[in-house]
Amino acid sequence: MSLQQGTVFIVDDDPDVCRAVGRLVRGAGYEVREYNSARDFLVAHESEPPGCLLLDLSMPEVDGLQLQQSLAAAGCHRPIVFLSANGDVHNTVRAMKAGAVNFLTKPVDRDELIGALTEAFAIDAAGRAKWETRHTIAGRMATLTPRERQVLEKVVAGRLNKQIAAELGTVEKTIKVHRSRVMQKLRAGSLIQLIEIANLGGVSATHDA
Amino acid sequence: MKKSSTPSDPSLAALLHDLSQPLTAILSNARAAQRFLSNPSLDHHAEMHDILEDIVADDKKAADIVGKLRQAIKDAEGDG
Repeated sequence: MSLQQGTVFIVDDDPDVCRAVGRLVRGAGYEVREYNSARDFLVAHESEPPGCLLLDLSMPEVDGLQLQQSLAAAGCHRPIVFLSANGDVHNTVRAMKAGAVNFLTKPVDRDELIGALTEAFAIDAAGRAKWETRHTIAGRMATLTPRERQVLEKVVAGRLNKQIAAELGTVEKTIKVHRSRVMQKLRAGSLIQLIEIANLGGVSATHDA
Repeated sequence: MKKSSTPSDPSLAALLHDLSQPLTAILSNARAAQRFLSNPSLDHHAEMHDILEDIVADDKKAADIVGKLRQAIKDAEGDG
């Protein structure tokens, strides 16, 4: 059995359920952390390590939906699979609308549970990859000089070098130099790539340069 | 079946909710045990011991809740 990348954080106020589900999930190759209350989880939680949350709906004090809200308010997008002892339609809808990956009814069997966790892990990985791309591009964008940024905005808006030169009050040759430096700094191999990178970095074609 | 003995009755709904907890634990423990046994290279003796202890305890819990359910249904039928 292969070890999955990441951790399943199990939160259930019933220690028997927590321990048993923990064994099952660990047996399927996942790292597991168990918490008997939403509070314990929130105190210990760091959003850095990849993985998902397997969350009991009805718990005393802070319930599953409240924990989901607290995480969202804190900007944590860790995917959540809910476990509920009663297939409560109202709460299912609330949880799913707030972005839950799945809502499972107890007693849940292995295949359904592992399937939901696999899906949650994929969503977590995709979200992290997207964030990393944005982060990398933001870093490259930050190396542009104000002038290079101006040129980039005009290139993305579809202006020709000649037009950009006229608009910025300089000569075409200078714009060409700026433009090739922008391509280098953003590591774009083509105009299409440059536009894609610029879009991800927050410079879009609709921007009227 | 009288209407008071459907799960819309709050006490019955609560008992059904309680029953699903040990059932979840028993099923998860049994599935974990199956997984451990399918990997004979590992020594899971201590873990299997714990699992069986937990299954027995959770089964007793479930039986206790079934007893309460039986009583609650009897009470509900008596009222009707």
